Amino acid sequence: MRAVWLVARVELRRRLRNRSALFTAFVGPLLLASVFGILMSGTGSFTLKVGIVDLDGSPVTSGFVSGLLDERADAAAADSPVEFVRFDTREDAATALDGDDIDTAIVLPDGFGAAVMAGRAATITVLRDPSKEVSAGVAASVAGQYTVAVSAQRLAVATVTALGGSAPTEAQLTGMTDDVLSAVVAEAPGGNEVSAATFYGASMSILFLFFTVAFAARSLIVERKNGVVPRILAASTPASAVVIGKVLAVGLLGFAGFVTVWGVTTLAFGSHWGDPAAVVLTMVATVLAVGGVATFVCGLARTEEQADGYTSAVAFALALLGGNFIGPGQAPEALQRTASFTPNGHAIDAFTRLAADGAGVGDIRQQLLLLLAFAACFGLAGLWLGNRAVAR
Amino acid sequence: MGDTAPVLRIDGLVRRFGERTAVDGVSFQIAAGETYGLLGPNGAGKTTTISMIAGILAADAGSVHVHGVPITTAANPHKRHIGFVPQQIALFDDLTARENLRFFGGLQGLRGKALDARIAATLDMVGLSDRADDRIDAFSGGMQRRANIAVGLLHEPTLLILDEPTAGVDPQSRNQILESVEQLGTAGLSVLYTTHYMEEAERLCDRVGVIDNGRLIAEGTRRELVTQIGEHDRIVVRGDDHLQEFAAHVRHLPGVVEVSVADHSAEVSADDGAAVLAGVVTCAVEVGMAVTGVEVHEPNLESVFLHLTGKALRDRAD
Ligand SMILES: Nc1ncnc2c1ncn2[C@@H]1O[C@H](COP(=O)(O)OP(=O)(O)OP(=O)(O)O)[C@@H](O)[C@H]1O
Ligand SMILES: [Mg+2]
Repeated sequence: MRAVWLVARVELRRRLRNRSALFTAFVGPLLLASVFGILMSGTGSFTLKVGIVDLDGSPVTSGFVSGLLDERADAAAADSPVEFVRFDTREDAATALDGDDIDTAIVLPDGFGAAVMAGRAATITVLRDPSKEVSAGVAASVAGQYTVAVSAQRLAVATVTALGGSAPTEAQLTGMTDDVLSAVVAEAPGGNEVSAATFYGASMSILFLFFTVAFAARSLIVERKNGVVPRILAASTPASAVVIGKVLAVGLLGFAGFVTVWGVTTLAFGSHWGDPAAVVLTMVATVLAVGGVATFVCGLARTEEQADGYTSAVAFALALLGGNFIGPGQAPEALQRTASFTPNGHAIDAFTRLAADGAGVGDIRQQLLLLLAFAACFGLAGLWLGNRAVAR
Repeated sequence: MGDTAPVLRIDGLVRRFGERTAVDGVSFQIAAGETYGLLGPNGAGKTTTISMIAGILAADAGSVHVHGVPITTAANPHKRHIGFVPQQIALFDDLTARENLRFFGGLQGLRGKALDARIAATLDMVGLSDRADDRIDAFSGGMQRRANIAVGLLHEPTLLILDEPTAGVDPQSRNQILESVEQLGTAGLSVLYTTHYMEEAERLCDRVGVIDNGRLIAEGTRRELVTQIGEHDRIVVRGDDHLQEFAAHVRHLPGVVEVSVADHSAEVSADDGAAVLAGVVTCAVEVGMAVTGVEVHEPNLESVFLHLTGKALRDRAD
């Protein structure tokens, strides 16, 4: 135990004295997070302006529209990512869309209410800007939700009428929109409030963690060759103490780097990472998982060059597959699937949930467990490889 | 730790690397206070032998006992008795000498004031007190060697293992290192010293083992080795007259093996040149020889090695 601590302490001292290790742990992730954060801040913090045109003006549609607008007023306090603006004509909305004043628009046609009440098909039009697929998608989804809700209501109305009841009241119609509205707000992409600085702060820290951990593995290879490791073993130190001590040291360094990025992005960019306890837990789990994978990868290396090469290849591959380079909530579906095979994917998933959804530890239990599973599997295999290499 | 047990005893050590047998049944013992030299050319198996003794390399066969306790690669508190100085500079070169000593001392269980005191004493012993807080990579080659030795001495081992501690150092550092080792030997430490410099083995070691191709081919004091191969000390007496008369007389002195006469000198072979020197000189004076000079030549380990293996101890490059 004491040997582990001694090895870890000397390793930390040397890393803190080494400029490239400091750069990797602290400066690198901060620098990249800042660059990406500034570059991507436009799309990172997602707010959507949706025009709404009610050409019908029937009780059915006016309830929905005023509900949306009310919702907007309420939601402004809650920083809703979606903002609704009313337009009187379809042309006004189209002009606003052209002038980039809004991102998309929903048009409720004349006779929509009557068609609904009569049980005929009714069409809602979504005006879209081809360059804003995501926005149009949101609007289409809003319209879709509305149609579904209206259809359900229509079915209910038809049933009631068939049973000899009276037609639905205005109050019923207005109430029906509530369900839709709550669905709409949830439907905004990723519920996304993750600032670019938070997202890239987390993802770049994860990327650089690999390199920080690789320092330990690399030094193990060097010191095995230059006789330092044999000398440590000659002092009756178990091989595992050498490996664990080194991994512990760089793990602490990586964690310190993580916390620094958290602090700096919070202070400098005003980013919000979410529940601090959960953030710390996620960081620890991430350090363990990445530490495990990096230890394993380096355990396969026989020379310093191999250790460097393997680490870079795996670090970038996992960051790409894990969606670390793609802005918050913008990963295509295929990538979302590959991400679940990487510690990077689960880590960034957890960080995104914490930042965007105000989630707590309980909500990211699954991600944490998966990260710990990565840590356990690869870490144990890595320690075994490391031990074997050290003990010869 | 039985008092009667030798400080180090190795029996039939064998280590193979693939097809090559680097160490092939090596056995020897080192008594308390004895300095034992392992003399052999490059690739003879010195480092491999030492690595097994230090418990950092597994032996394929044979055993190592330190103070009667078996040493293997497994962690064992008894390894405390061994001070191991590897052939390479096995130090963190981005740390200072003191930081290195603190780390390795800590691993040996030293701490606090005791550790500080040992660090100071050891640095003093190797002459690095004034450079204690300089980084190893700022040291000269000789200073690095000395720092390397300091780590092995830190925890006051009873057996110090030095693997070619003077390799590639300047004459000044070399002399300093040799003096330190001599002092340690005098102070009662047992030392295992490998080298391919026979002058060092002759100067430092009480006994020498000659190793070649993984086998210990001869062992003993220098004199025993020299006698073993039939070599003798030679005393050359220079003078111009009475040479034949001198030769006839000196031949009968006890300890003299052979006498030969040349134009202006006579050469006396003896098992122990120093022991018969006085008798030889007296004899020359008695026969009325005008002695112009006397030289004693002792055969060295180089000639022993040459005799035993038919090859020189060192490559031309050295
Ligand atoms: N790890 C290893 N793998 C394979 N062969 C090795 C290994 N270590 C040593 N050898 C071989 O074992 C033999 C003995 O090597 P060793 O280092 O013990 O020699 P040495 O007497 O210390 O030589 P030197 O004076 O050059 O230090 C050599 O032939 C060497 O090539
Ligand atoms: Mg050697």
